[in-house]
Amino acid sequence: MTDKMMNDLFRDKLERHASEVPTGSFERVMAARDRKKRRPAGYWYLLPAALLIGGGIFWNARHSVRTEHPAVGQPQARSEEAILNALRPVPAIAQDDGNKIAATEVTNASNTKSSATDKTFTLRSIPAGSHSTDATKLGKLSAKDKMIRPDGKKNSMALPAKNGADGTTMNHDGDATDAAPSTLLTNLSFPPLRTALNHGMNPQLAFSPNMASTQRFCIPPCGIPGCPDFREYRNDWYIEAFGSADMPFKSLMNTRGKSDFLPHKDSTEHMLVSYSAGLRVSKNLTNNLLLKTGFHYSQINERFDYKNESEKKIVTVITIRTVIRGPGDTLLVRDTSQVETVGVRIKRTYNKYRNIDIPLILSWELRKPDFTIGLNGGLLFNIRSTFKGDMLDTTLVPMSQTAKAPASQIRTNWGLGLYAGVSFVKPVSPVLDLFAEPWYRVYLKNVATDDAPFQQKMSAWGLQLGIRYKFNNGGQRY
Amino acid sequence: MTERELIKGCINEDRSCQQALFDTHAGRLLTICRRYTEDQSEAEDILQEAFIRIYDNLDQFRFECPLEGWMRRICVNTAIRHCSKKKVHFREVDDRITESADAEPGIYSHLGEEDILKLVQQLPDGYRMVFNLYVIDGYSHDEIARMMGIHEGTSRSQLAKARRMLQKMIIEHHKVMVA
Repeated sequence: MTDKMMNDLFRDKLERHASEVPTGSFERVMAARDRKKRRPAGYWYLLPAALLIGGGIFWNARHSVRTEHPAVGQPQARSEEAILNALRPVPAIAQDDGNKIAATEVTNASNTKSSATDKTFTLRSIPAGSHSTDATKLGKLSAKDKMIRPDGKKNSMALPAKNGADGTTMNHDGDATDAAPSTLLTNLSFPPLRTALNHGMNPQLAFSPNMASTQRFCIPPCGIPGCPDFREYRNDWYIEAFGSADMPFKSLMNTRGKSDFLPHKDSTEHMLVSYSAGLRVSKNLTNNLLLKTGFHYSQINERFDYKNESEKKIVTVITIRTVIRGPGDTLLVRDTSQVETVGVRIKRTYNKYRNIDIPLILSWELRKPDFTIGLNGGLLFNIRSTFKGDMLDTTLVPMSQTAKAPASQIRTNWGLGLYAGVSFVKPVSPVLDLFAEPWYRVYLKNVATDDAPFQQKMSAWGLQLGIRYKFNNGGQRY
Repeated sequence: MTERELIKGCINEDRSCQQALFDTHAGRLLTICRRYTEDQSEAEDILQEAFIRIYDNLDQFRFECPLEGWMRRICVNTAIRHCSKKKVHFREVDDRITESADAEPGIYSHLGEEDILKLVQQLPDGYRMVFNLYVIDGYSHDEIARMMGIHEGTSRSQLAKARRMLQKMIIEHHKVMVA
């Protein structure tokens, strides 16, 4: 039989042949199609989408807050003026009583932006029981009340026209106030100062960080010279969510395998771009130092390519025939034969190393008004690691394995890792920051089991993109 | 209902039209799927995937060729894609069948469609793929080589070996029948 005849035979027989379709196939097709339609195309876009949406929401929120500033700013300015008016009579009282209490100078040395002149603010201590002083004696600021500044120059008790903290211009002309001091003290909207005055304490204690937290400065920067800069005493809590594209690396060392084992193993395994994601909580330890912890999930991808030029395969052929030898004489014949084939076997598997780590990271941050750079370094405590895929065994044959399998060559715990990174943080709203962080991670321990004929160490570079949300915005900032 | 109406109904997600299209063509497409696979369940999976593609892309059908030909092509492509995902490929298979199996032409006439289909299914993966693509689906060796990522010579040799193996299997089959 010629090739053409054979071709024609097979084509004629099979081209138009219709097989019997199992019942319910159409319903299965439609159900599978519906499932496929519902399934999202992928999850990779979720993080940037979340970042964009979150950024947009908070950008919008920030703009909303800005538009409200004039409304909320007015009462605040009034309260500041009330504070200042309450403070003005104090020197007069001291002078009238002939009390030569040395002027107390509160210098806000921490605010580096403003000039020294702007920072100098003089007060006189208030003697105990002097709150009921006659109102007519209050509020008069005479030339005698000019205080000597540390540089020897005379300085008026009148407050600087510009407070320097938020750019608000305040008019402090030193005129006597008409309001009674008791009313002013009662209505004083600066609780720590009111507490200090009510208890006959030195008013500068109101600005001391040693005061109870409820009595400390707990409003947005008031603009009073000498008031501690709210940025200088940070007690912020953040939660950070991030995703990262990783490029993993590994180093191999032959321990018990044959000399050709490692080259073969190395040639079959290729690291691929991987990813990691995580959630961290960070807390200010000092003004610039943060402690971060949470959990990291990382998946390291690897391609396993195996090729064997002399693979043998035995195919069992079972032929079942019904032979009719005559009327009523039917014979069922089963013929089993085996065909051995030799060829090339190519196997490609995508291996996956999955890790869950708990990070403990210290971050030192250099803060600017609209940008922050952080240096991060710390430890990763691996709590669980799994492996799924193929690896060569010592006989150079692919061995499918998982981390749970007894013959696994990869440990289920990778121990301690080191982490280092540089973060670039961009605030998008008072409570939300976006950050990008190039990082490097290395596991110190050999990740292969003791029974494995090799040692393997893992490391990775990557770039994290994430968002950072501030918990305690609007709460205390000191 | 004309073919155009049927297609239009399918594009509009008319369930009855979709079922009519399925009922009309599923049998022949299942034969294609069975030709490329070893077992029935695998073939049904390919058929399912092929019909999903057909329904999803029916709006791209331009009536430049018969609908059945277009659907067959999608089915073949789906089958090829499915087979290429399998981890084991036999490309340069030496089946060690060296004797020339020259059979009488008469013995082929006794073979039914299902018999021939089962013989094809018994071929090794590489043989089966090339044999189907070349002999039944009409692809050239050049096209097969490009589709499968192999050399053209490999495609030719696989086809020759597939033919020899099929002839041997047919002769064995005939012997059983005669006995």
